[in-house]
Amino acid sequence: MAVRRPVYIFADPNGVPVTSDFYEYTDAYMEDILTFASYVHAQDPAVKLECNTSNGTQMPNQNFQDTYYIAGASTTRVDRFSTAAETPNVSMSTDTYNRIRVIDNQGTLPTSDTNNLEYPLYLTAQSPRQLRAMTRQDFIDTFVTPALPLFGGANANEQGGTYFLSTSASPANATIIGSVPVATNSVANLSAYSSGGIGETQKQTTDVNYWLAKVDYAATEFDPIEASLPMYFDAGTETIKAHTLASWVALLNPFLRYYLGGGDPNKEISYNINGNGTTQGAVFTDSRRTPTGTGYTTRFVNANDYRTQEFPTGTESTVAGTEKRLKIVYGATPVITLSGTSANPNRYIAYGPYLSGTWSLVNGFKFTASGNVEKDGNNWNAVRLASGINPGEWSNIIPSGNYWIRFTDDTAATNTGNARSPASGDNYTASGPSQYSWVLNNANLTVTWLGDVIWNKTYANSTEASGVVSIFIGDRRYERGALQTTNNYAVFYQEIGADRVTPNTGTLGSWTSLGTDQTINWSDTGAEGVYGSRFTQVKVEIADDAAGSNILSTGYYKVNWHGQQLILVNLDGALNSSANSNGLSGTCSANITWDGSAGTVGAFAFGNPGSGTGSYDWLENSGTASDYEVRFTYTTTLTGGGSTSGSYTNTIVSSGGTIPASGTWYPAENQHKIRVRDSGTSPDSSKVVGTIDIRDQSSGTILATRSFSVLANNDP
Amino acid sequence: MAIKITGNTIISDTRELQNITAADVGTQTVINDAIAFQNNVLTIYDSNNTVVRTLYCGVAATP
Repeated sequence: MAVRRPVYIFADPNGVPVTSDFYEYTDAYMEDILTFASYVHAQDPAVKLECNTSNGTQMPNQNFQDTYYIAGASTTRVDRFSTAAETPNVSMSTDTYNRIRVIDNQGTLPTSDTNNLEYPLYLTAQSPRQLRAMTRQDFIDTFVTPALPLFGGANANEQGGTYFLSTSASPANATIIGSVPVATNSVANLSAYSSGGIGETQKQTTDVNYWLAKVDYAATEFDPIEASLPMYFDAGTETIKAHTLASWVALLNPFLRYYLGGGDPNKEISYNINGNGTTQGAVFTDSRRTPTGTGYTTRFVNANDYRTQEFPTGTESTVAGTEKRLKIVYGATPVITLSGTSANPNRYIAYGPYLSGTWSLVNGFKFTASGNVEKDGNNWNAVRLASGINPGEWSNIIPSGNYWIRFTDDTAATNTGNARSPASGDNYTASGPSQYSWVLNNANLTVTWLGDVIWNKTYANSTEASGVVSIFIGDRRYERGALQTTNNYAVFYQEIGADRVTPNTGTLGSWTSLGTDQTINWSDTGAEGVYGSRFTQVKVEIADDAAGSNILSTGYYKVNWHGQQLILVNLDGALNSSANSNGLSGTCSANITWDGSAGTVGAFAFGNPGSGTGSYDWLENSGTASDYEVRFTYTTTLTGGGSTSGSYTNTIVSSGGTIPASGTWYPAENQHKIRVRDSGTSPDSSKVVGTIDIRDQSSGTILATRSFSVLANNDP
Repeated sequence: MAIKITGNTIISDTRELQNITAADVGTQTVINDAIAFQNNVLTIYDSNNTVVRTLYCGVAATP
């Protein structure tokens, strides 16, 4: 289970030693033998490409299209020349090629270790000398695993057995595959046509052939390792032998084929046309001439033979959009997927602004180099997902190729919530996501909210002039719109918030490499309460080239925010408790219990009667209790027999605790109780009366306040 | 003086052994033991670390 250093002996091509001793591989040889895997793989590649055969499957997305002009048919008359109008025109011909075939040649992973001597020897002791055969795993660790990444590198001599397009019929260090090219770009050869040749052969072109070629370096290109291959013990003849080229290929090639053929998804070789990956060789481009005239030409042979023909004319230029690239992907093929449309983008709703010296809010998206789409922002408690993109991906795997991203402002985007009048007798349901929908009941101007509105919602303000109404959200924000009255319902039009166009981070309109994380976000410095719904929407494109000429996927991403913070704490319920023994003997008690771990606060009483307003959540919407502090500010009145026993601070105790000190801030995540117990006979109540405040632990901003009272009166 | 048998030198004046055509078992054992005594051993283990061959070899001449 380790990398071993094989031994070798200088040998002739037949493996016959030419020196009398063997040696351990040097560091240089250890590198050379890995490079030599290129030669081994080239002898029988994991993925074979063939041209114009029926083997395997046809590579998709080929359609190499070649267009070219050919001469019209010639005419002959015995009385005169045919006119240009009478002579057939030149015409454009189109040839389409789909000749590349893909053959899966992965095979299976060898599992044998014949006689436990199948793999090379390595030195385990120098004196006396001991040689040991590698295990199969040693072999993989030494010769296979470290060689695989080389095929994805930039050195051509390390990529034996991979294929490329060549416009040369005899490319260096390569073998042409097949007897016909993958495709041909033909262009009319003007010099081939002449008056004296009428009738000329109609198709006369200059051709550029695009051949399929395999990287195929000769063994000697790897000198000296090809003559110093590892030694092994031949169990049959009980002799130590040096591997020959053939035996080394036979041993190593199946491993390479298995892993490069998909056995290791991160090292798998695959090919495509115009997809992702690295371009292999020449780029096919169709070119043709743009005719500049009819090319009408005459030939007088004799008084009984007047000939005409129209020849191609014009200058050659490339035909846009015809480029075909043979691409290789090393590693699993990522699927690049962006989603959403302009009308229905991926969207999330962010929290509103926060105050940290100044009002601040940043919202946007991050497209990571690892293939994820993440929300990005610095708003006060991260961002809140409404739908769509968490977690999100633009690539299903960590992308192995190079990709580029472009952000474009989606000018077609609008905010949600288009205004609409209700049909007669209908309740109104706004269009767009339900988060933005509501009904304003005309009779009493109360609001019926539709859907899950993330912002606190309270009431409609009817004080404004007819036609203009504000809805307050929480007690801070408002949306503004026109009021219409139809069939006892008033339709409230949502304010269409401004689209933030200029990014805070990221650039619009240019291609940027996804080799590093790319972020696009927008800043809003509006203070809390000065704006309603705002949004931004961006069109996102990913291409596999820096110029963006081959866009792989397009999507739309949107973020909405609102000029109101999400309320995470509240004290919006009464906190009063009162107990009385009502003539019974004994005691009674009442308390305010702050449960920091549960995020609740409640008022309770024990007596006859005893009543409390009960418990409710002071911590809302996944807030974190430790972000806050609580303060009890109060006055205490204790009458005969009254006490605050049973109170505690920070930690629950059954007795002996102390009442929270008035006016002192305590960690909100702790446990606190203010308890009044009365066992005396005074007709007056013992009581603690005051207020509870919650503040932000870091900023000190008081976020909620509520008065409370705790009364107990044992009145036998 | 060299030792000859039927005219063939067996041990030369320089004490070189010559013209030996075979060795009996005892001689083979002596020679083998002499080589083994040099302890110039090459042991071949298989991948399970089991000895499959032990070779006693001559010592290479000092270069």
